[in-house]
Amino acid sequence: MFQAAQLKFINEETLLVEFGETLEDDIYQRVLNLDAALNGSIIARHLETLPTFRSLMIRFDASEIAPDALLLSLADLNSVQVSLNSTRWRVPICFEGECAEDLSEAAKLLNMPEDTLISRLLAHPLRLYMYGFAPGFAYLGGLDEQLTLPRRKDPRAPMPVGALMIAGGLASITSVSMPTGWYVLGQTPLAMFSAEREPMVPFAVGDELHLYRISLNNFSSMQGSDDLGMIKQLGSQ
Amino acid sequence: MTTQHILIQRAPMGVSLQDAGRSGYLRFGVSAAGPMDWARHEMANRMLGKPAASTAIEVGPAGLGLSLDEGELQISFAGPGFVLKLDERSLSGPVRAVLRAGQRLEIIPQRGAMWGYLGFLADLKLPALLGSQAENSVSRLSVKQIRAGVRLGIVSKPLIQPACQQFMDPFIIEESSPIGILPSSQYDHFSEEMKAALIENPVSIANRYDRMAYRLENVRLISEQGHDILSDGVTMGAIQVPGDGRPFILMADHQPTGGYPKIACVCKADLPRLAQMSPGRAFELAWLNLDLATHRWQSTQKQLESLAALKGTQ
Repeated sequence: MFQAAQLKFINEETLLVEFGETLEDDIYQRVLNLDAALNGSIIARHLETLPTFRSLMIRFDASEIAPDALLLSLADLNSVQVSLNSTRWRVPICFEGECAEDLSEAAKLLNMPEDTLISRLLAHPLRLYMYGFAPGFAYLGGLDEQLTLPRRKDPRAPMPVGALMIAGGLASITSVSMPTGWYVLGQTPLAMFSAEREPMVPFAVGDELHLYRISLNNFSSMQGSDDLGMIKQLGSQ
Repeated sequence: MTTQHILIQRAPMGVSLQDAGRSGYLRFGVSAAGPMDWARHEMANRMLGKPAASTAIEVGPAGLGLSLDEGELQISFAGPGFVLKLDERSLSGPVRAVLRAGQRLEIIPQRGAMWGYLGFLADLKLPALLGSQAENSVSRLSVKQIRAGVRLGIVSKPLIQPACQQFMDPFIIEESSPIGILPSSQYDHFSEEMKAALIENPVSIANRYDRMAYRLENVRLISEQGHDILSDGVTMGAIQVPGDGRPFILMADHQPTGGYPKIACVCKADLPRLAQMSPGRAFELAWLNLDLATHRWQSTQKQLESLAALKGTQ
């Protein structure tokens, strides 16, 4: 499961299992596999895992499990078969008016009409690779390669909460408002994080998001609601 | 039991409720928060016989003023550089004392004071949010922000004897020894010269700092593989190197993931001394290995657990 992985203790209570340095599906799949295997194992209660694009960070309770013992447990997991369930969701995005502040700029830079940009964005599902940066801030992979734009040199004005952004070959859905080097193409009315809501984030790491277009009117009537009814489950795989 | 209230009279920026922090939610982008100085936070609780991870008030570099609406409350304070004024009495930490209704407690920073912890022998009448009462200044997750005018409901417990007691601070003796660092995730992205440069000259903390990060002065580092990496998980104490080459150390309110290369991480045993380093004060960094770092962390924990043995004179 972690052949060729690099195991690094990055402090006295944290092990980083690094499967690669690049964004690749099979690397990411190995991250998810180890994450699932660990969280299904008996040592799960002594640790917390953080899956990212290419590595799994494992924070362990050093008073309960020694570094060497953790490494042994990992070796045992090598033979464990895990079944991964990722759910497919339909996620509403508005590409009109203030929801799409950088759409025309991005379309010009990509040298394609706005409608083509949107169609390409909607043509394939995106995968929620990880949350990071802020509660509920989602990084999405699987973006059409034609939609690769470098990050801006100078950050733009703060993006809205719920912005769908692209840069560096990735997409993201934001949960905070702050200056950004990414391009804001659209906005979802969905609240990506609510500490009081169960679940606090709408999607699990590894889920597939099928974006669909909604009008500005629909966006306005749905925005600000903690209701998860606006996203529809398409099934799992 | 009747509910009393801690009345916050003066709370400049930088005051917050902190327990040991949140765990279990990193994967949703929710960082742990928790105290800047885990050892003094633990000390404040242990002086009252409370579990180490209990909620205490973290006092920032501008101090705090408060009073009690009725009855009495046993309090404790740990944190270098602060003076406690309890009416006309002056105390300095680590100390256990009693606050009575009508008295005014002022926690006053002296030159260079950074973070202190006010413990209270009482149950705090607040819920937990995602398993914790810690406030994160970046994500704004909190159960109660400590501002002037806030009333904290508590139910106090019987006093421990002796009611007023001075303790010793185990960190004072090693004050000038180097801050130990361990290799972190992108250690291999840096040349031998860069690894040597990090510890070559004394460094200091820049004037602008917060609960999220401390910027290091007097050192410039270059990563051979660039300064934009694919984000990965980060830890408190990690030394990140952005494109301008000026490293910064991630502190309690850091985000769960980071996209800059991390050359090193401050060891657990020295995080308290680093957190308490006032801006401009020179200190040295020194590479450690994991075994030594773990050993030092464990012996620091043992010292704190046997706090009774540290009792000084009253």
